[in-house]
Amino acid sequence: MDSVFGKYRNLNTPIHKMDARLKIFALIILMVACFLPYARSSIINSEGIPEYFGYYANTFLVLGILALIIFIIMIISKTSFKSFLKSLNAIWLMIIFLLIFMVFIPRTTSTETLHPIVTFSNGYAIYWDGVLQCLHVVLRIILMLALTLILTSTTAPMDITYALDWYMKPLSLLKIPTQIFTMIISLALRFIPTLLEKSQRIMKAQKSRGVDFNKGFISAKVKSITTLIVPLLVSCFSISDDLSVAMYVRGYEPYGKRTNYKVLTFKLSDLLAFIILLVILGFFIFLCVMAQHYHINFWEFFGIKGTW
Amino acid sequence: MQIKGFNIKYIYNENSIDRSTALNGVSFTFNQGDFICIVGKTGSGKSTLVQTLNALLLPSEGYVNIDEFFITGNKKLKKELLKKKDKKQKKDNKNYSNLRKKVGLVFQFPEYQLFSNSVINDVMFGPLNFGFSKEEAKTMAIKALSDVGLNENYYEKSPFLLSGGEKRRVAIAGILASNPEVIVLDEPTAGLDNKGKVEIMKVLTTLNNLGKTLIVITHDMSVVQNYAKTVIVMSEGKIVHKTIPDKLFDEVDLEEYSLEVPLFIKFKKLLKNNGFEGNLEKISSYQDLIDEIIRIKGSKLNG
Repeated sequence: MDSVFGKYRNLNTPIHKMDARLKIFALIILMVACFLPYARSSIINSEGIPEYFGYYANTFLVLGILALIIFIIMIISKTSFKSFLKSLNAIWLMIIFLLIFMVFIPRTTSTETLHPIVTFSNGYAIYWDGVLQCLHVVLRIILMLALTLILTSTTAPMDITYALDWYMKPLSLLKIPTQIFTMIISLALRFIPTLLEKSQRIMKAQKSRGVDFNKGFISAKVKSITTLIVPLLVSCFSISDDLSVAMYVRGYEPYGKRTNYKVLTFKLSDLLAFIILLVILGFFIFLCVMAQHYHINFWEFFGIKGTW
Repeated sequence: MQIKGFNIKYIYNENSIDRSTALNGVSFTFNQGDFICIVGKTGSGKSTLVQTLNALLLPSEGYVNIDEFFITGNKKLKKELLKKKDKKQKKDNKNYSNLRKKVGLVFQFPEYQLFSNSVINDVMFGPLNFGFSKEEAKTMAIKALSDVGLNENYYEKSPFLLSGGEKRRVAIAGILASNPEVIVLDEPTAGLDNKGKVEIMKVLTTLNNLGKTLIVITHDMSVVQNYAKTVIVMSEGKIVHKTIPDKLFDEVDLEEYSLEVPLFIKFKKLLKNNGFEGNLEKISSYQDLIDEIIRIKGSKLNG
């Protein structure tokens, strides 16, 4: 069973060495960059001609720059493209769903500005606006997937947990026991492979009792899943009982102050990366403001006039 | 019914970095009514081997042949094997559910496969899956439960409230209920106390006496000594010895395979090394040994 997100690969690249807290920060910044609007808000230009291509041209151009940045990070971090393509496998159903809906029913303020590619005799049509909108959403999702994949394949799960713990620290001022959340996350991460192995064993055991997990209608499938879920839950409870006793015996105190064997350290290179990230964020916010407020497209900075 | 294996190879995670060869060219023939014990270090390929017997794992190379079934993951080989054969066979070899009716596999710690709210429902589950009617399934389940020594007081109990040994007997009954001709068990006595162990082995011996083929993976050499007719030693994905238990203890250095020598055998060897004059070859129980000692002592006294 492959999980959607990439497994951690223990390599020695600058991205791997980066502080986990910074990587989470970078993930958030680049995701924000994915979702900023990079288009003029007006769709009709001064001569009264609709600019629907211009609208999307700027967006796609900027997202293209972002994709290039992410691509470079992928190369530096030696993230496998195979696992990236594999993770895309998980969302193709969603993409088809989006395609069907957005191509036929584009989001718009008034129907007059729609630009049909084909109009069917019964009044339905496929619109340029829908196709471009759909591409826009899909591109954003793919970029986000790539970002999370980079994070999970370059950062050990425990490091992610420590980083999340660090981000949650302010909550402890409100007397929220953040260390318990961290413990829960790290235990959950620790037991994913164990439970996968257990479920595979149970599936095999039920198969030899004649269960076919792939065949049958929905009712048969529900029945066969029950034969997996119930034993899995039973063994989950017995594991958690054993685990809690084992932790108790070794002196675990939920509200006590905890120290870590591995301490996250912020290095000089991390500071440099932090500054680069801020510059990137600034650049994208600048592009966003320019397009939204001053109606200047990206290429117009280079003296190229006109819309698409 | 004979089970034949021809040059079976099995590789875990074949296309990945962490690929590992579990079976490396294993061939064997198991006869009807045999009681086979498979022993070997952990990781020697025992569990992988028995999982190929009912097609839970398909060999990467080579094949297992049981009656009309050919179990292999090699599509080219399978096509060759099934050539010119009838349609029914092709259908049977597509998904192996009919095979699993014939070859029942009881996993290690089988109590983890229990899921129903009552013992009888859980045992009936297998036969129902294999297409028997509800009445038939119930009769089969009752028979299986009595075979493992559980009476009607247990039928309506929740399997989760039983003791470890009882749970295991229910799980074994779950496999027996479909009346398989071959029963494969992966460490049936692991984690049981001595009484539980003896009870389980008694059930298995009875089944063997009824003509069923039993294949048992075990680390417990007393099981091998007392119950097995044939013993197979596996190491690094290969069968390194196939012999009868007595010969195994006499001829094979068990420590090489991390196997323990039973006390009785150790004692016999010590006697031999210390110049015991009696005939130790034929002795297989403590009573025989006592008789032999008395015989020699008596003859010496007489002499």
